[in-house]
Amino acid sequence: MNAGAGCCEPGTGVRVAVLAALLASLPLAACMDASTLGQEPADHVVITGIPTWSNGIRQLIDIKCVMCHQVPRLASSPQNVPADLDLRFEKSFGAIRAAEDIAAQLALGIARHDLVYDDGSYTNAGLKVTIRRMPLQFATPLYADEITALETWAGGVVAAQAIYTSPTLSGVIPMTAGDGELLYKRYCQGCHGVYGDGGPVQWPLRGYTAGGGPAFARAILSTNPVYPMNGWPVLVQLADQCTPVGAPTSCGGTQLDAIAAFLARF
Amino acid sequence: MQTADAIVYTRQIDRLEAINAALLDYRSVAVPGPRPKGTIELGAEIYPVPHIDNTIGAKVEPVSPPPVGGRLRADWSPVRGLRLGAYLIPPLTVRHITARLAGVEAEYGWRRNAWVGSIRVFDTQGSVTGPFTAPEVEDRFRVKAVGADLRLGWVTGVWTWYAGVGEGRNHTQFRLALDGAVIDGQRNYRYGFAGVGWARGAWSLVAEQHRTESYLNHVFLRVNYGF
Repeated sequence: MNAGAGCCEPGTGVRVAVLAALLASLPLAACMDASTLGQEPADHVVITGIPTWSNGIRQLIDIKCVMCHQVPRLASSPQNVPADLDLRFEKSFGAIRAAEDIAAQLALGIARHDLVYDDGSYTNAGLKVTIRRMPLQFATPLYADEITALETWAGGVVAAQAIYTSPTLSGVIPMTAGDGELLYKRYCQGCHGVYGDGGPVQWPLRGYTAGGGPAFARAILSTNPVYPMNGWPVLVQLADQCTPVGAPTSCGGTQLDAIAAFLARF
Repeated sequence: MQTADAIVYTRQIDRLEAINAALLDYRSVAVPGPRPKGTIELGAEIYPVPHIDNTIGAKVEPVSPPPVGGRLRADWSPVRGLRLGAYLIPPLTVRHITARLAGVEAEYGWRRNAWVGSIRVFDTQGSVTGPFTAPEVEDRFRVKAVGADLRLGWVTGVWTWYAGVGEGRNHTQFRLALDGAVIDGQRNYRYGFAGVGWARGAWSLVAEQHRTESYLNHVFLRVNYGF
């Protein structure tokens, strides 16, 4: 008992106990690991044949994009996702943009690199918007063949749109405010917001048109950055009608008229 | 939309939340059995943090947790058999990470010859803040958990060998400072453990090996002073 008492002298007993615990825990310490899913391969959508909305694209977008890009936004998606973009749908409805409305960005390679939008304005106001490469790093990555499929599909949508907005056709077929709505949603709304209320670039177009009819709106639009982002082929078509860049008031083109007519409603 | 549930990164995030919630859980880390009436035990507990792969999607989250976690514990036996306890993780900042958690527990213990047993319920909650997703931001991981466990042991001299099983339910919320996203998860979990306790005089030491579901093995060490 004396030995035991000696063992419990301050310090001695504790040292022995710590040593015993350490020895006992050595084999236990080897049993520490956390099984995460960090190396789990991404879900893979394999599309055979020509990618269309019903042949793979819808499924692909559902899995890789919709978690963030739906309306209303889920709590788990970033607060700065566009509030007017719902990729569960192929075609836009109301003020909500849908998958076809981001075809131009896909065709420009948003799945491969950032897109830098520069209004190219003669005012040189320095308006520049960067849209980050999608999907973001923390999200489920795309496989190379999925990117190719998305771009193939998007290229088809953009090509159809290019025909629709070609100067030749528009010169023959007058465009309406309804046409302008579609054009606005596809090429303007992402930056300038729903009904031209300003959007992420905080450059409202609605204000310019509120007091005027289509003619006034048209004039305003022709002197403000309806200009395209660098390298956006379809919008370059619009801009090409506004040459030279330094003299935008000489713009012509029924596309701008149609957009103006649409914005004049608000 | 059901397909959203199949997204890899949501599974990865949920698993990481489950692992971290289990690491912060309120486990017994005590030998089973009754304590004499009026016993007060004050203790400190540490648990080495295993390596965790923080890859989500194509991103490795820049989480750098402390190599060990720790908490202060206190238990009181107002009558023989009943044991009431609480713990606190002091809000110290280590590697820019600060934990603020606390919990309470109640257990009933019994002894028959060399055999001892205890059944326990617990409730714990709190949060951990730090730059988990980007440098110099303060993300917040909140966790609430309730559960119960049973442990049975055998006393031989100064040693007590024991094992147990438990089940809990937790609710985690991870708020990302940078973009305002809130990732919410609720899950049931089961765990098993085995431990050994050593006691002499007022001092006692405990080591417990835990396994939680299929995703976490970790170890607790605890030193107690009773009076």
